Amino acid sequence: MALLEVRELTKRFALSRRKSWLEREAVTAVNRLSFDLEEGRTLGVVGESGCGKTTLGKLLLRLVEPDSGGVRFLGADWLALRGGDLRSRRRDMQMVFQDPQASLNPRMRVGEAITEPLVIHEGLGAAGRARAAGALMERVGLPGSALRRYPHEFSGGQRQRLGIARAVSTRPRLLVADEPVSSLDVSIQAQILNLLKDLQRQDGMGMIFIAHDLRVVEFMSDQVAVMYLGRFVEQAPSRALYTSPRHPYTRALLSAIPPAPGEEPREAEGPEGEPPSPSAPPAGCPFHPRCPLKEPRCESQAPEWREVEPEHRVACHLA
Amino acid sequence: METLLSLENLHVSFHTPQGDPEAVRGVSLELRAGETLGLVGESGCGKSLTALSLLGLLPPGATQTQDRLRFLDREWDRPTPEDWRSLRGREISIVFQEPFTSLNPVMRVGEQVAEVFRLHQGMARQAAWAASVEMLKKVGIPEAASRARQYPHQFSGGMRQRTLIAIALACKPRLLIADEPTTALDVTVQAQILKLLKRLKREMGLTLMLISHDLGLVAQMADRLAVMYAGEIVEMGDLQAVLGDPKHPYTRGLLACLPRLGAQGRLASLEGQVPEISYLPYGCAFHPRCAHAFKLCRRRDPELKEVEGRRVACHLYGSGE
Repeated sequence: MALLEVRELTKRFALSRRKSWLEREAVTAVNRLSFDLEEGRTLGVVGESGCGKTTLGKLLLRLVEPDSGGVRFLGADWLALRGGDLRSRRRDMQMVFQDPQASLNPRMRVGEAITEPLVIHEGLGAAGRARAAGALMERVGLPGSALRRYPHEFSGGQRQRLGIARAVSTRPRLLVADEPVSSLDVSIQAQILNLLKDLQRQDGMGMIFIAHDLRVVEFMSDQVAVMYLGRFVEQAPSRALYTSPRHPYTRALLSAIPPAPGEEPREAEGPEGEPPSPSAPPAGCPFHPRCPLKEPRCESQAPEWREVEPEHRVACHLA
Repeated sequence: METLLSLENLHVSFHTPQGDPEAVRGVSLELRAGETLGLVGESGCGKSLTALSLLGLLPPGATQTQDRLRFLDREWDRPTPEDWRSLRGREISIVFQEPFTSLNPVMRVGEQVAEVFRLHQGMARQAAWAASVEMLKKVGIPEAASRARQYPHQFSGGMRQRTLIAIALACKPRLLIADEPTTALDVTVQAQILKLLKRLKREMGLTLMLISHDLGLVAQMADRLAVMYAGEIVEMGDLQAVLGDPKHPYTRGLLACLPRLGAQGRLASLEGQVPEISYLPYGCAFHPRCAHAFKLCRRRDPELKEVEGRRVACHLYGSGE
């Protein structure tokens, strides 16, 4: 049984602009997404800004409620949970945010901040809390002596370690990490990626790893999904996606990565143009205005999301 | 090759009540006409301050000193505000990282480019507007004539960055400094901007100084590379030499940290973090993070020395003792 099953998940946001006096304009941020995640595995989600990847993470955590679709998590209907039931199950699904500065309370000592979930979920007392805090700090590679400090006394990388400590404190089954390293320097980024992998291996957590950096996503993920204007356009085992991409958008994204020193030199190309506004997505295949291979049917018919090889799904007429 | 600009022994310090810590500590560099120099390093290593020092644009509270700044046949040890004005825009221009905050939100885009022509070249309003549209066309803004009448919020991030490049190049400078020009942009737009910079460099015979934390990006653009750490250049030389066979442990560490496509397991990582400028370690600033550090490294800051066709500041390559 899969850890997480997502079916036809959809979220529209109304804009203040109106189409007519009856109807507001809307952005479909997440458009009928379906996927599974197995225990202990990582699904990477990549895409350009505005593609809906952050909304997807928020929907899974129910920080934003979907308009339609279903989510099963740990075998139960995750969207049916309400109030206290939802709160008590939240311990099983936790999130790591992009900006560790903004996600830690500046007036709370870090020892308290990282053990707050344990107080909420397990009613931990003061003594237990201190013990847990020390253990958590060690797990994320911070000195136990820093427990009584405040967030501003830590560097960006250390703050991200604190954010991770808090997220894994309840031993969640699923961790949603939204751009956890995009504000960090390369040397620190490597430390945090290694830490996330280590913690995942120790606890056997599943992970949704959302990022715009294709190299980082490949390094972290078993499966990678490419998102464009609210939809998945391709999903495959990491190796297959990077070595034999089927969707023209995936190919274009991959060609835009500058080759790292030591890799075969080539010109970074990338797709032409920029993504259209999600409030007025093109008809047919959403990628057709930028697609070098488009055919007449791409302009009118939306391609189906279909499996072209085991575990390799694409939404493209030509794949 | 002709030397366009040379800078000797630049120091930048910040005035604070606790003393005047130095953020740039003795940087010397040389730009040859027509080349692209990549300046890389992590945040806080002093690369942006070095760039701003070439334009006399340091933020308030920061002071720069240098033994000498040379631009073609002119030379200063302490440039005056007039000296800087004669360089800025006409000879040296800069493009910053933030395409979202560098443009005036209540001024038409075309007017912001035209302003440069009016102020620097004394053009009349209409001529300046025409030149502005021409410039926007050159940086690849589609339908430039009508786009010029729009405001920055109607432009995407990539188009705004193109506009900033148009502004920077309006006076046909010899040197363009691009400080993290694509950091705020998507990887797809980044590729477009890099292509544009390459084309403009060729068409206008520019010399380019590209500042970035992204080694992959710099590797694609640069002829020579300078790696900075804690306010100093620790390794500098031809791109192939430095990246193909890095000598400084920091350069090696940076390269090893990059996730490679197809790689598995753990990333090699540099432990620790960049020191704060007010608490620099004694000796070599990198030694607390360096796996090869020995006694001398804790005592004395190494100087840049010629090692196998590039310059390296590291005691591993002979201390001269």
